Amino acid sequence: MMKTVRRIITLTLVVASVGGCANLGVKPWERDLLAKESMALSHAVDSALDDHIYFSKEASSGGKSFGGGGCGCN
Amino acid sequence: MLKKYYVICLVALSLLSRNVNANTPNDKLEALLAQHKGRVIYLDFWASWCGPCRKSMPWMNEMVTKYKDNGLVVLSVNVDTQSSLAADFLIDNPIKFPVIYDSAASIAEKFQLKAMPSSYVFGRDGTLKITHVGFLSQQTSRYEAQLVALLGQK
Amino acid sequence: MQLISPKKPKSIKAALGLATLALLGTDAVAKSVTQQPSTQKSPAQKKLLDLSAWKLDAAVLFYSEADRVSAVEAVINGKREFADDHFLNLKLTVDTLTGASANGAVAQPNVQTFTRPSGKGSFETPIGETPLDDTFQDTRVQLNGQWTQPISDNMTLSSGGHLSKEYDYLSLGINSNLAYDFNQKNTTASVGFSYFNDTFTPEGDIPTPLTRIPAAGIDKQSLGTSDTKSTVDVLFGLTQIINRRMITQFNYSYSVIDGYLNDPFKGVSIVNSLGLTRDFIYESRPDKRTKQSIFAQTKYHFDGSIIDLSYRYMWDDWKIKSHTVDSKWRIELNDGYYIEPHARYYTQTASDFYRPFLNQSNDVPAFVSADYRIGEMDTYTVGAKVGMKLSNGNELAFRLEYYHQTPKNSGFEQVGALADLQLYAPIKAFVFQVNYSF
Repeated sequence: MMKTVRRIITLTLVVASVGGCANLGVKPWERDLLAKESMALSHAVDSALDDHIYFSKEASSGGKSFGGGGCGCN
Repeated sequence: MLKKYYVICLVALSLLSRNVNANTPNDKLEALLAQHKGRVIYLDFWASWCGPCRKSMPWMNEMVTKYKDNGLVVLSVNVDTQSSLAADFLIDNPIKFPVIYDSAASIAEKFQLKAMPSSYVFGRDGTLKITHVGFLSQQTSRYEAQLVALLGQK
Repeated sequence: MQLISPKKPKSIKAALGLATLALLGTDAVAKSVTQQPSTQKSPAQKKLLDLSAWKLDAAVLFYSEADRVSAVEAVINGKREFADDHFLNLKLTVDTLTGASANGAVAQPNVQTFTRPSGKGSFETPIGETPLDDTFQDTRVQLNGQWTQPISDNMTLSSGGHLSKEYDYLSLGINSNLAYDFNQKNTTASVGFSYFNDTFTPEGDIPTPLTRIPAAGIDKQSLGTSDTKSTVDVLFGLTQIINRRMITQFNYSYSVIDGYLNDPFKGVSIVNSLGLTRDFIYESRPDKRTKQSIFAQTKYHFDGSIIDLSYRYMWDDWKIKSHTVDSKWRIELNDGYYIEPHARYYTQTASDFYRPFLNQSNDVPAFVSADYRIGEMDTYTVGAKVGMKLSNGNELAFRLEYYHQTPKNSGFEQVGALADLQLYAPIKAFVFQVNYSF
């Protein structure tokens, strides 16, 4: 239990220190590389196929998400 | 002795660079803005990797065709770090207005763009009248109405 | 949101489009599909069936374990933008599984006979081998639909549904995700929620846990013909752009699964002090499982390659803990080719009710399962993907991977005859996949 609490606190601190850094990041016109499909956080089709294999063969699943990154347009 | 040499070098360098920088992207923009004084200027910032930019090109072409005789001028600034990508983009998306290549993004920096694409509309008096952040194809009639209103002003 | 490159209609899409339209008899739209699009879209071209406006990704995957399960999975994913930044994503997946799967029984120094899960007929396991039931054969169809749109300047909402059906299993699900962009879209905070309701109607009915698995032809003790389980998932995510080349993501997820969590086809052997099986009973798992995980990922774009590294730590109230480290390195080659080597390492601890077998001298616990998938194991995957851009602008890719699973003894003494037997045989599988994007 305490181990869990400690882990969540560590994660929150890491996240807060990253989120709190308003100077991290790029200008809107510097997103050329990030806009590429190959820089997306997950693949449209491969991620789901892999997840299906590992879900069937192991005890863990999911935990990954989809938002953010990209060209940041509009 | 070394310090003097250093200062001379610095002065020489700055004089040299002033000559080299005589035709910066910003200089080109200033020249175009001066050239079209008295007209309504639509200044658009775009990049080959920007999806909404692709959608905005046909609309800007349409505006040029429709209103250039009424005094509308469309100018664009490309912020691709590699101009060859911009050239490829223009093959698939031909345009009817000039492009200033600003690969170091000096003009973009000066205008402090909030997102891509961004456009700035200057009235006939040369002042900045409207700023568009992003391009929404659902809003083109509103964008056009704004231009018509500005074209009607002195 | 990644930039979706526009597609001019390719002959395959036009052909697909015409085929679909022929079925539906819509002439007006058929005309627009065969024409080259002008940059201005006509009203007909905005119709759903205009395939040139869809970005399609198709893949076929072949999975094969030495001597065990084989599967073929085919998927087609379509993404289309309607109004500005309003997207519809539709996906159809079909997969079929065949081969032999462990039924939970322990290997023995003699031939064993087991009843098939359906209750009709039986199968034999040779001396010293892990008992595998080879009647496993199933085809599954899955449909996913997802709608994503901005709901304000910096907020995006994505919602969708899932339906999956196989002979004895139905799964229905909904999901919703809200993302908030700030710091000039350098930071994105998101919260997602999903709910799944599954119904299991196994052939041979739901067995009463911990009761004896009877010989073929004899009725099992049963709780009924079907049962359900529900899964609620909550996910918190934070994506941060570090610089022009680097993006990172941190996620925390919490899920609760409630209902029928047993595998009705698996049992647990009860052995005596000589290691010989005296009984074989249906497994019993708790009716609830609470899982949590933290996930971190980073992608870095070098000049000619991209590296993708991720780590996930999972823990649950079944006392399973796992670590997953995944890495991919996409190297751009000439002429639009790329090669992407991949390596993944996974390790998990056993659940607190996992037993490879039970000792006759001990009481049967309330919860017990011999399913090696909730036992202790290490796995690794190594492989590579090779992709290319074709002259028509479409993409073709091939992926080959080797997956090796090493189940481990988490501290159970192999009594009597079991000491001479391999109870934790590794599982080796190959994965081959073909992708086509158009």
